[in-house]
Amino acid sequence: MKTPRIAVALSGLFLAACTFDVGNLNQPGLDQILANPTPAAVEAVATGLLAGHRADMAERIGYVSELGILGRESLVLAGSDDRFVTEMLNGITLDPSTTNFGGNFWRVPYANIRNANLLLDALFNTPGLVDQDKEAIRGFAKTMMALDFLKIINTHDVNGAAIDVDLPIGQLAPFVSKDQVFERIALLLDQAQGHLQAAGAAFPMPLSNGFTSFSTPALFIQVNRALAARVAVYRGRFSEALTALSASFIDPATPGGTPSASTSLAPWPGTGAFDSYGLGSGDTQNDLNTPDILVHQSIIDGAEDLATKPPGCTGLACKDTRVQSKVTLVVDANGIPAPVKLYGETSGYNLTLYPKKDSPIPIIRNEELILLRAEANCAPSPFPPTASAPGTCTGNVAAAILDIDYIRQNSGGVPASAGLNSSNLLDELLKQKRYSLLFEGGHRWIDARRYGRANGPVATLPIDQPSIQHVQTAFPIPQSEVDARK
Amino acid sequence: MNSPRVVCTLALISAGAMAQQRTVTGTVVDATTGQPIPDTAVLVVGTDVAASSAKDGTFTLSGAPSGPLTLHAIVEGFKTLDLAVGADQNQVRIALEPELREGVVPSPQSRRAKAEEEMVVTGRASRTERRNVAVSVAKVRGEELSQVPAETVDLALQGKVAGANIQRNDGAPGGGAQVRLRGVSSINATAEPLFILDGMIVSNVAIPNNISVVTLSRAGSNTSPNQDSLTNRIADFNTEDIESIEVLKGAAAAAIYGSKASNGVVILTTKKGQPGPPRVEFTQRFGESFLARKLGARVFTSADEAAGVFGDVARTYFKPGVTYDHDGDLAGRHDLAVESILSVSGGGESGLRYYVSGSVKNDPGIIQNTGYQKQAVRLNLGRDLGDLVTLNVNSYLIHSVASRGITNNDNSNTSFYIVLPFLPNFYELRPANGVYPHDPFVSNDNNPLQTAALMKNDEGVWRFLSAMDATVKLMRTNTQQLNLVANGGVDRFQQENELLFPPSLYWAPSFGLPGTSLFGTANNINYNLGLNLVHTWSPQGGDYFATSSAGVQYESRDLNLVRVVGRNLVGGQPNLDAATTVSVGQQRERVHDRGGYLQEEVVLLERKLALTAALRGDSSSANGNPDTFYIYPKASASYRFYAPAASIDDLKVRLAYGETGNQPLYGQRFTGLSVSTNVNGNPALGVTGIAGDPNIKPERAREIEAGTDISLLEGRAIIELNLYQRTISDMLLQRSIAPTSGFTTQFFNGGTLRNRGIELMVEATPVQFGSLRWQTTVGFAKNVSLISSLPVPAYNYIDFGTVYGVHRIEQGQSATQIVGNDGLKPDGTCCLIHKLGDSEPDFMVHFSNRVAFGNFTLFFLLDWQSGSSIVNITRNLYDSGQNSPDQLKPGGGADRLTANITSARPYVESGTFVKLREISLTYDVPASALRGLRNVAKKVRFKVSGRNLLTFTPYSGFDPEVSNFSNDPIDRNIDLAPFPPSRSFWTSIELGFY
Repeated sequence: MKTPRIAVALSGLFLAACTFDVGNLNQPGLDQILANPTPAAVEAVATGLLAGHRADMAERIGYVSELGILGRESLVLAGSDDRFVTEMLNGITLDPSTTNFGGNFWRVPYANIRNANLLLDALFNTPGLVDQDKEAIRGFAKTMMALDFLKIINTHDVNGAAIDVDLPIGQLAPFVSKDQVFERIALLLDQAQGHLQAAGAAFPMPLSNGFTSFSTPALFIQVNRALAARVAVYRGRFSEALTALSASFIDPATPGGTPSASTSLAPWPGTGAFDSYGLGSGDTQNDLNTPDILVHQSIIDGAEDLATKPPGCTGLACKDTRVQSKVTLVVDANGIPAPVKLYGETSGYNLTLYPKKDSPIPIIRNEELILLRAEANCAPSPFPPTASAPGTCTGNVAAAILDIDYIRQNSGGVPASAGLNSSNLLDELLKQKRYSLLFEGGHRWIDARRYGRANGPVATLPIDQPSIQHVQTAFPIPQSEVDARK
Repeated sequence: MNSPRVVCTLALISAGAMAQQRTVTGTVVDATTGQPIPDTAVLVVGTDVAASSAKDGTFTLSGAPSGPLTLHAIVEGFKTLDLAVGADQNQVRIALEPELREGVVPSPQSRRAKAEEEMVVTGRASRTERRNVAVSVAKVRGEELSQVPAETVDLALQGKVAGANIQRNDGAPGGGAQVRLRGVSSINATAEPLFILDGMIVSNVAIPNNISVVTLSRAGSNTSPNQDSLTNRIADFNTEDIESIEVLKGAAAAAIYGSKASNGVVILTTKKGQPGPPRVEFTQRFGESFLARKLGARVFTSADEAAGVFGDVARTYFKPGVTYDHDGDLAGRHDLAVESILSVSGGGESGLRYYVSGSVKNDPGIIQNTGYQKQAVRLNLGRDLGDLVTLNVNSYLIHSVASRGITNNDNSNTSFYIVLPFLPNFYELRPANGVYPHDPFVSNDNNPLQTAALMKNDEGVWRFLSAMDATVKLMRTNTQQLNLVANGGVDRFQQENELLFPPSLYWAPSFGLPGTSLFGTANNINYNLGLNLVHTWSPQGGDYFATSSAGVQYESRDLNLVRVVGRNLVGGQPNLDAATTVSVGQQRERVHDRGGYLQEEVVLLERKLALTAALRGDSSSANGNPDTFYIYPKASASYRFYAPAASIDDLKVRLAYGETGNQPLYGQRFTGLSVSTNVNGNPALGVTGIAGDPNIKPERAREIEAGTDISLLEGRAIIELNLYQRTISDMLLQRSIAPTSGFTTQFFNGGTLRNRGIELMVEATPVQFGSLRWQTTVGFAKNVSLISSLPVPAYNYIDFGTVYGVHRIEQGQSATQIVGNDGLKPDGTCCLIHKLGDSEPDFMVHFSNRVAFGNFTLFFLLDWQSGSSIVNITRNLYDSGQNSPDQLKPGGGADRLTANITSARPYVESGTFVKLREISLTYDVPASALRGLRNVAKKVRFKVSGRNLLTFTPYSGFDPEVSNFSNDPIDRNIDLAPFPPSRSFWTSIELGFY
């Protein structure tokens, strides 16, 4: 009876306590990073914050594209998905249940905030990193976290958000108001500035190609302050904004000043910080150059003529260079104009701001800083304005006009402004922002909303089909978030 | 054999055997003619003593127990007979009543099938006569599977097993079908049954071909990779090699398969050789497939009307009264399909048995550059090594290439039926002078005919499988037998996906980097190893016996998937090194499983009462704790009444309870950081949004099944009725968590899903008159699913939102319910959400008929599914393109679109259908005619057949069998630009040389 004995022995072997475990073959574990962080892993998480920030920017369903639709800068007319029109333009409300029509502007930044918190927690017990390097990482991480919170509140506005989210999975952070979120963003930026000031001469980790001008902690502070200026303007704290701007990379340093030779107002290559994309394996590509992303007709209609029109020019060729450089006519295979008509919307122009798969998308750049300075100098009041009092400049109107004209002439090639005064300056400023920052992340939508110009009597956002369309001013809190809190 | 103890033991056994055994000899004859019947299986009931009758009808049963016994004689074409044999009767004559029409020589293959049918699987290494089985086991014979050629073996099972809902995912060549046994049993793990081939667990994984990098299907509102129109790999197995398929539909029958069996088990057994001279069978088939249904498009009557929809560009192309058939232009091919199958089987006196088969198939698709090619070889060898050891090695090698086009959801206007809804039918897509016109109605110029002509989407598979088993008779007396059954095997396949979208495609420049070449290679290895001890005990008198079995198993599976995407192809070369931009991805999975079982089967009280109890323990590295054994018990009982009333031959009642599990998927226990994204070449890490559960464990299904089997009118009618309730607890769920935590989903165990159902099968021979014989089978199945508890708030499944209709997991509702917008809320906001349908049918009926008259046999199978719902987003595409055939009619496209602003109802449609699934007409050349041809061939059969020839359905789309998400457990019945369905016709000739 040999065989049964072998059988019993083999059975014993099978069932024996020797482990048959298989670990995670594909990814390092989250717990592993927290429990045993190595400098290399920590630095990879730090660099990863840049990947987390750009993740939902450069797609048809991303931040730039969808905020462009809501703000009537762009359209997506695609047979494969009618919701860019039927929901985003025609919808009575936006659908909170979908993960990608708005849900991504909640899910993606919060995931990156988790990354930043993971990084900050791991830094406490990372041997092998000197304190200066830790401070550099902290300053970078908190700036990125502020940027992610800004993405959340820009998209969800009065619906509020949760800020104290560094909790174990399953525990819920309470919701706070929009004002409290902005307060937290300002605080994070200020803390980050302190950390960066305590940092060494260089970051321990590599940043992306979008930060080549700001690759050291000292230079990165300029980006941090630029963002602080934007946040201060959004909060109506105009003097704070001017202070922050003075520590940023704004150029010229004073209204009407002489810019340095290296400064460019072009979106790219211009002076600023960018979300960077790449063609390498594993890098993320910019998918905004697709034929179904089109220009809203109001952008074409509102463009001013050039100060010096080329002889015999027609159409676009006579217009604001900002439009000429960012927009192109849709033509068919024979070169004949072929406007796209779908779902009752028509457009004859494509956006060409991001011509390549590795085109960077501005996070913040010099042209915006100059316009922010104009806005801070204007200091509109009341803030926020109302329909009956749509905003009067109470600050340094002359300084604001200097910056506006600088942009009009140097970026748009249109004549200097005429007849600007404290009551009409704000709308002119918003128009310049619309053209200077076209398709760079919903500036027209956000600005119109901030000054009560999204809806109502002083609305500047056009509605193409008034009987069926609406202007949405905020994305709803995603259904999954609401459900989890029931 | 130099161990004295072994010699001693063997001597004792043989001495005992000689003292208490007897030999029974006899003859099997046709009761009507007195002619001898060869190849009859004669079994001694309650033992494994068996013999096969020789050419002269004689047989010898040696080793039969002394005392009175019962012989069981089975052969195709004659009624099965049980014959009582007295204690001192050693010579018998068995006279069988004929059952078969005239003129047909039944093949030994099918005779054996008939005998096998009586034996069904009850354990990992034991089989039991069906009459003594206390659970429902459906068994389908090979010849029923290959009645009408089916593309894959799972499709061949459609409409043949009550309680099995088998549906194609789309019409793409090469398979891709879901098998759901007794409803859906899982929400976030696999819902496919376990497939076993010749005792070995074989892989049925479905690996995405990565076409989503072109269709961008994952870039929209849904990120599921299952939208690539996947093929599940059971498609690799050759239907023609299958001797039989047994389907264990529920936990009560499948408990012995432990933590892999809560979706049921499908057991495939391949053909084996039988002792005798070589038997050569050859089948040659020719076929054609045709587009089964067209969607059509709106007919425009004026240029103004067209311009109103498509803009002024339409004026250039509008021609009054001219329309083109875009459906037909794209999917109107019907090229000749060819299939050749050759098999040789037999066995020698040396104890060697063999079955060798080879087949070649080329089945072109209805769209250009699509189709399915397959070449397969099987070698099954069996050998007796002396009297004590039997060895079987079953090996199979297959190469297949499925070319599947570009279909399903997309966000890049590349998928055929994403473009056509927006194309007016007055525009011609066909090439003029070899040049395809650009499509001016889509932003990327895509002409789907050009795409079909130039693209490639080939899924090539090389698969080798070898299953071995050895049975060692350790002990054998006249009352007892102890066998050691060792089995093992290896299942290795490589799936290579080669996709090419050359830069010359009109839409290629819209990708920024024109020209895309994809290469994916998936290497999969499954190992199986098992050891079983089976002890049977049949004491003197023969009215009761017992089978005890025990065993251990080890199984592992390992998948390594590497995908390369090359873009911007230099000169349009498909090689990846011709791409300027290359990206690579890799994914690995490895799971080790261990398990053991004990089982006891007892038949007593004159074989009226059968009792079974078993216990299985399983551990797996896919579980949170890889060393925890989960225990799955089962128990069953059945009682037979012999002739309890007039006209009732036999009535069995049965009751069974069993538990099974369903393992977590690999990786559900881990929370990892993504390594697959970098920033301009710099390493980057970040959370994936998915949190694992370190304590994850298998789902547990508990099933109670009650049933009865009734044989009426001397076997003229057989009725089987099953009632079951299956409760799945600790479900593997992917809960939606608050995204503010940085995670969106987390795997966990929780909740309870209940499936209740009824299955009724009736087999009858309503007419038997002369050479006319009509056999019919009706199967009815109804399953009702209910999520009886859900520890998380109701949530929407991953499809396209409530605007079209979405599956929603909700306590108190069916697991497959479809909810959608249904009017404005009282506060005027959008929208009320109500249940609008269910993707599970209310009931399914299959009705199969075989009418034989003379040498002709007509067979047809109707498949009826009632009450399921489909979310028809394809129709929404046509409507929103203002291009539906009924666009402007009342209740047509325009009205649907208006209603859709606040309601999903227009796009949640009934998926009820009746299909003429199979039909065939067979003519067997009579034996007399063959004799005239000098007996060159012993069998000559001509057949014409068709599959899915007719579909009756209110559904407006292509086919109510549709799934944009392939084999997703819940997300069936989402219709979004699928591959169009086809109907196929075949003519074949079958030759037999013996």
